[in-house]
Amino acid sequence: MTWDAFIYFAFASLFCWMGAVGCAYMPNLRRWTVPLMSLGLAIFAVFLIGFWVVLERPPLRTMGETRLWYSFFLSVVGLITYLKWRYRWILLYSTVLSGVFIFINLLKPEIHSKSLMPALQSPWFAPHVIVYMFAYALLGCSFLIALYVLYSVYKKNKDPQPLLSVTDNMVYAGFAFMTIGMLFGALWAKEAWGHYWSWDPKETWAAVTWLAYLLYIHLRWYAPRYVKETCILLIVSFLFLQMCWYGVNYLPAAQQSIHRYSMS
Amino acid sequence: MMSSNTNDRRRWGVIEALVLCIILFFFGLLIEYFAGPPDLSFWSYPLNLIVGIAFLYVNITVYYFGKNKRWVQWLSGMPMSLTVILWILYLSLLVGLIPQSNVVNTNLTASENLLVRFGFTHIVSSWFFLLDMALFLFVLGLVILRRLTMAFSWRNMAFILNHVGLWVALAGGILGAADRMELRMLLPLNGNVVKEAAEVNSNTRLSLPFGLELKNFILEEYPPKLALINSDGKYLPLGKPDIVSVDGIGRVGLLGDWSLDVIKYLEEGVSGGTSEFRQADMRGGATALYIVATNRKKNLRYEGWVSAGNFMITPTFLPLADENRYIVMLEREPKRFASELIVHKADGSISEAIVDVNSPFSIDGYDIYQSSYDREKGRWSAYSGLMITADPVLTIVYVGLYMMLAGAILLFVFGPKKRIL
Repeated sequence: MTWDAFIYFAFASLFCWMGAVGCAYMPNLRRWTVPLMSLGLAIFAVFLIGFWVVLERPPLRTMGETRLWYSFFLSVVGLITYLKWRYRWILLYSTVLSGVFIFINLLKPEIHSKSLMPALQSPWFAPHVIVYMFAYALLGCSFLIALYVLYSVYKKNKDPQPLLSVTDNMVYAGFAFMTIGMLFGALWAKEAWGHYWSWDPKETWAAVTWLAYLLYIHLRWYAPRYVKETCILLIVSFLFLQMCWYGVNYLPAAQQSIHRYSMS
Repeated sequence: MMSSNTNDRRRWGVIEALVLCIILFFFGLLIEYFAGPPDLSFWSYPLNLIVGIAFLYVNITVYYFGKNKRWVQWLSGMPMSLTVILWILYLSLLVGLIPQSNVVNTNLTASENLLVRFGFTHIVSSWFFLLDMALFLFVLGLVILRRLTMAFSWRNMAFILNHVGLWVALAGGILGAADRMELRMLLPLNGNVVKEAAEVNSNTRLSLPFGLELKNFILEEYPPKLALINSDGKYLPLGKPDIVSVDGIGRVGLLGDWSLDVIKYLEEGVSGGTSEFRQADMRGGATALYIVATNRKKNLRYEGWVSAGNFMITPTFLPLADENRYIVMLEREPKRFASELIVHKADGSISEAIVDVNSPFSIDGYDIYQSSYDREKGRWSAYSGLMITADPVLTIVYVGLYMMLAGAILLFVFGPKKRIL
């Protein structure tokens, strides 16, 4: 299972997911939605596991590898959201966003060498990154919903509160996982680098992202009717998330970061 | 006309909260400009403990005697909380966007100098950061105290764990920063017992209550890798290079149309300036492979030594002359580096320890980390780079972090409170 096989698995998964979206919108085919989504996930999971085995290390080191997990978890979150609230458009949105990251991976594949550097050889590595990628997927979906809410409130005049209670659920779950990921990172940092928090650029932007979603949680408590402001906050928070995930690699202020090994 | 009845007066909100944050911010800027950054050594134990206890005392007293006063209700209310979170977010953004450095640089432009004077190049150790964080902790304290008066429920438990955990971790981390030590030691492989280390930022030498001696420096590397380059030195195929990992003798793989066989594998070889390698009989050898490259399609065959070389030996590659291509060995990547240490304690006792990356060793309240080595010399590094830290408040901060971990799990389990709007 080398990287060259990815394109086949990716297209197979995307095909299943797109099929699932189509079925969700057609009453007589609706019962195939969940099986097709699940099949797409299973195919993708087979690739992930096979790739992990061949690499002899968790495929979590390079940007491209984290994107794999993001595509996977986005579809997981989309499916769970559909199962819980039956919003069909979330399947469309999560499939599209998942597809975007798959295409980025196909167009910009990185050299996936087998070697894992000593700093990353730790039992914290996989849990820290996987928990974060799952959080990112949840928060990514809440970003998609925020866009949808802005559209539906201003174009169709719909009541946004039911949707905002979906984003509440997603952000609470996403924030919880993000906090756990951050704490895992701090505990690992002490074992590897001697200090649990050194305001390294990656850590700083992780704090910025964390505070932004914390602000959302508190804003929703204080001013639940501030719909536009809430949606904009979700969008800005997601931008901070992107900055933390890979933006730091390009930031001039961050060139000395010890997290930069993910670039090589 | 505005009534003078207290109940009609507008409650303080976000604007007033923002004003408070900004006042403290500017106050901090002024102090920084005229008095320089806070002196960490001044705040070390026991002053930080006294300040911490006094802060807590004031926090609790203000709440219990003032909880019915307007300004205390405002400080412990949502608008204030929202504002301080936003303000700390803003300060963190500054840390992320402005290049930070603790190094004193004298070659600065006027505007760069201004940034330094006001503390923007060392934000997390500046007065304005300290003052705004003090406000954050004070507000957080009041919020916690307000919630403690409510009856027990699992939701309240989650709230307490999250908020108290954050308070403890932050207060511990900030106050304890004065006592934290981060030292560097380059331990040579010559039998010396080193009892001093250098503080990372100031480079002042500090003596330790123990001595370290490097018995052996271990470097394990991943198997050597072969690749194909063109005459410009670019790896082929361009953009997605082929790499062959060599685990031993025999057929090892393909580079393009060239199948590679390894005839000889020297873990440590010397070339004596030629392109022929033989087994090294002393330190300083480099990995060398004798390979045969065959191109079935074009009926071509080349053979020779390939080595990435090292600090003493020049790299050797195999030219595929007819093709303008070369087979090279990539520099071997480190798989593990560690130090075998002999520890000389103050009481005269001697013990041994191994320090690995991700596996530090503790003694007398100090943690010793494997940090670096002489990359140029690789496995022949004549020293081991160690980092030695001491953090007396670590336990307190960890209590806070684990509370937040438990709080995060409960946050996920409970989710948001369902409300009818």
